[in-house]
Amino acid sequence: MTSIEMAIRTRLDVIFSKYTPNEQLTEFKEELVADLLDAYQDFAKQDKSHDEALDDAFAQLGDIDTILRELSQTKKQENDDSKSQTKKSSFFEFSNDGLHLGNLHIDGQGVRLGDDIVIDGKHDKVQLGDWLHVDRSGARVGRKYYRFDEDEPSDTTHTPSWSVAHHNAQIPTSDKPFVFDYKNADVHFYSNDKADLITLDEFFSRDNNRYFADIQETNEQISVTQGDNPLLFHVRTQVNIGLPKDFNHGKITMINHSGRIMAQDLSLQQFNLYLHAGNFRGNHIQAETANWQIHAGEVKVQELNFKHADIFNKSGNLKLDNMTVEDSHITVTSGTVQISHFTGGGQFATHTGSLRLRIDKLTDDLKLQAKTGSIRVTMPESQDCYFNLSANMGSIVMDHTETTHFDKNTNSYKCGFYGDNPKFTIDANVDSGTIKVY
Amino acid sequence: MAISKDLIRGHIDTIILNILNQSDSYGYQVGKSVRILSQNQYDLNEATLYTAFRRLEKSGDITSYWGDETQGARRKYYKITPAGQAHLTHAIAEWAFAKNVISQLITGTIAEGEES
Repeated sequence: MTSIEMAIRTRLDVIFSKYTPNEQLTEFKEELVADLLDAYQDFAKQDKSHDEALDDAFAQLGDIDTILRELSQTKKQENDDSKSQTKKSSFFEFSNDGLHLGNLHIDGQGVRLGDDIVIDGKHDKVQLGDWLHVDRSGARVGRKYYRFDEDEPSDTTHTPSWSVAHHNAQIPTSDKPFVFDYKNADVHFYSNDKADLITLDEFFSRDNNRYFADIQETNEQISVTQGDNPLLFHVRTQVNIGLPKDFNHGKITMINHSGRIMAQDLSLQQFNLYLHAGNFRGNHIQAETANWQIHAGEVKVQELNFKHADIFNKSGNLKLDNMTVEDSHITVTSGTVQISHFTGGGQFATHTGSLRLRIDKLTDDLKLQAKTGSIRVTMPESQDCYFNLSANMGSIVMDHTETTHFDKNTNSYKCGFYGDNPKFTIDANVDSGTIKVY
Repeated sequence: MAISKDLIRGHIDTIILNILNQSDSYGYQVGKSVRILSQNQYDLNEATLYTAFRRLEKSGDITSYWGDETQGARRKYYKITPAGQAHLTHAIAEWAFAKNVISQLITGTIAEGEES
């Protein structure tokens, strides 16, 4: 048995120890060992340490208590009858159903050699082992997946199929802030090919001029406000907003009460978002400042680069990947925060929920807080720093090497530094919960 | 956008049957297949997955067997049964019918003066 398998088994033993053992539970545990080993292998590719990958593998398992309770109560039943049913088929069979020669099958389902080689014309599917899978939607080669259809957020400038009315407007860029105020629309931000024009395309599922947005300029700002929104029936609305590629002095505020917002390839001075209920998905966004307030919704952004970012999500999850923010203020009241490849500093807090942060590089101090929940942090690969970790109720676990120096080292309080040349401090506190540092 | 639990709940068994109908598979891999099929838009919690396996096994839609891995732990594979395939075919037909009707019900508008 490898040491990984041993570690997985030990952890499972702890989880299973609450239940009276029976055959079903033992079988389930065996199943979990294999699956967790797989998950561990996947996480080990990106995680630094053994322990970290192990925690991640167990984290994705979710809550298995319900199923354990169920299994511990089931009596052993006549589960052998299912096995006796699988009849042995002969080595060679040739009939109207097709040709079967050992594990080579040629029949209505296509051509299969064992489970490894499958050519299935009916479902447009070709499969060679675990390595190559091609079907209608895309191709997976090794670990890479290629999609065939172009339903990507990048392709947002087309007219949706349900559209019966199209409103188009072009607004010259300005140093004044732009405020887009919508009640319930699907909004796509993208970068257009103009030098100094903002392009606005609105699509509606009903045709009436009064649905079109109203564009106003005052001394303070330029506002684009959603037109009439009938209460009695629903008018589906999609808005495509094209911004010049390098609109570096642009200040954009987007308000959407419910609906989704997508943004791609933006380079602005300010990008503010107010979303009451809905989702925000972004890719490659750059700005001096960003202020996002989401009431209930999911936020998923890749490649974000801000000087100052203030992100607040009342309930929902926040997933940020490749984030570079010098001064971050990230708060989630209830929900999880997951950040990978973080460069920068600032404050991160969750009230109820977990905080998972993988740091590439610190450029400032970091303050992490979870009221009820857990904090898990991956330290930067090659950067020394101070740490100050405390748990009012709970425990702290920390990977340490010979270069780790502790000033204080108890179960619920650890402070000290890594390496010879620490500069920034990671400060983490949980009220009740755990802190883990890798 | 994320798919809410309420919205997908009734379809989890069908999703699993569809995956197992393409080849036998084990827990973690089914979870991955869900991610691939949904183009990372949906993540099926493993706990939910195992519960569904138990349910489907009980109802006779799938069976399981242990793999013969030579190294590492042995995997538990799940296989769709003819009964499961029949249920899948039925569920797909049902879905094909329902999706348009539901879509009409949710987004459709009643034209002025339309009555029946």
